[in-house]
Amino acid sequence: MILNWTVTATTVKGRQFMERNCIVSDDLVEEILSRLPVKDLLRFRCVSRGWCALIDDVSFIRKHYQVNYSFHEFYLLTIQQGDALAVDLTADLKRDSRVVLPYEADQHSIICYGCVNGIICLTYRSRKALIKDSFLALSKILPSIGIYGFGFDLSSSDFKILLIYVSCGELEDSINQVIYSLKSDSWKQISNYPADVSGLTVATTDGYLNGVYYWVTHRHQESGRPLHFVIVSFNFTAEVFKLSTLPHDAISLALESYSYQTIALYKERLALAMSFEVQDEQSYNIHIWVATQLDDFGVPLSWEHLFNIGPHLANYILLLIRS
Amino acid sequence: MASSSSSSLSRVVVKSSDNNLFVVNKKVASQSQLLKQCIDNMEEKGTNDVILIPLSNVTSNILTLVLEYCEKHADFADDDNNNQELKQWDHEFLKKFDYATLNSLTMAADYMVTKSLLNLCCQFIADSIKDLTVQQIRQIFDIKNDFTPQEEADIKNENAWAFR
Repeated sequence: MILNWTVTATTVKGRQFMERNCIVSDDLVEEILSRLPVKDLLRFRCVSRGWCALIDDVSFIRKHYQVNYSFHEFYLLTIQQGDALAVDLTADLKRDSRVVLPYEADQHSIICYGCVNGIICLTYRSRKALIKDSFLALSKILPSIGIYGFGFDLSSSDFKILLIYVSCGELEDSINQVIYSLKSDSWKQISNYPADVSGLTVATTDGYLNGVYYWVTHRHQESGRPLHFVIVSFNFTAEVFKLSTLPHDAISLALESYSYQTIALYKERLALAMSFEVQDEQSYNIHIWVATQLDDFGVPLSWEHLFNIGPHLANYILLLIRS
Repeated sequence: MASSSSSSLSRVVVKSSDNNLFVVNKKVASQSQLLKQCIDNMEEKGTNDVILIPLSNVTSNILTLVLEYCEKHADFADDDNNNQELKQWDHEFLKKFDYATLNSLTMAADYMVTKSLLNLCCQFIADSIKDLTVQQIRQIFDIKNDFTPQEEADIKNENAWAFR
């Protein structure tokens, strides 16, 4: 006897499959598009209203990010025969590698400011014009005196660059902040940087997570007193800076010994890595925390101490490498 | 668990939308979560009868291809996923098809819940459409341009660099 097992076409996809005569359903279009490099997506916004709405959708952007970080391997920014190449991290290495620094640049002063959604941002200093840094993203080169953070505004689907610089005045130095938007191709002055916080810190390539750029700096303090560290969160959508404290155990450790700290990503979570000098020894203890809770803005509310390594001879953490 | 059941089925019969019957062994059928679910349900009921699974959304042409894929992958089911030979086979397998067939195969993989084939098809289509022009995309996906010329120009200007 043959039993007849009924498979009900419960999915919308199934019905569309019949009706639309082998044209892929919207769900599958999303699946396919989520595997494309950003440059192609921006071009395909022109295809139709439907495609444009899909590509601009915040949930699609998140999906695109997730898919591309689970399906693809990471590639390196390489320097070959004098040319600096930026390699699209979401695409085939040989096919998509191309020269991005169009003229002779000083290879030793190229600094990478991170990769967001497959787009790399870096600066270089030309031998011919030593004072002027130039800044380059995609095929764009912009004049810039320095760079801070590179990120993606999730609500407007726009790549943005945060630049903070100190200008020396006659009476006192002032901290200036500007934002570059790739979509509008323009710089804009913003002015809400917390007044009592130092603007100077080492930028990290791994300070960006979900539309927010993070770094560690300190409050202005009288000399001789220990530094009061704070974490700055800059939301690329709201374009606002917010401060939060280090984990409690990190604060007490920082009071006891000299430390070096950096923001990093650990398993796609915001992490804080700190190295503490071991007294009278040429070695350091390295501690890692991960943020366990972020508020709607992206500011870390609580932390969990993950582990410590050491004493270690390294004098500071260069990078927390993702694998 | 179904696997420990004494009344386990060894084969199922799958019927395409154009009423052709395919006899499929269980290991091959299990590559599709939809078929596996049907088999598991029947085994739970303790039946020894051959079951017929009609797939009203999949034509024989496409079903043949899905089953060819399932058969190959069933052979490698115990290997790790990064088997180079299998990857090479996957690529050669998809390379033969035109867009219409690829689209149908993708839809069938989605409908039959054959996740690895679905991922493979989506990635293959994505790889082959990148670098294409907007016009070519409209043609392949049979999409009507519903923008006014001005709107299209505006969107293009927003990210002019992406068109170079």
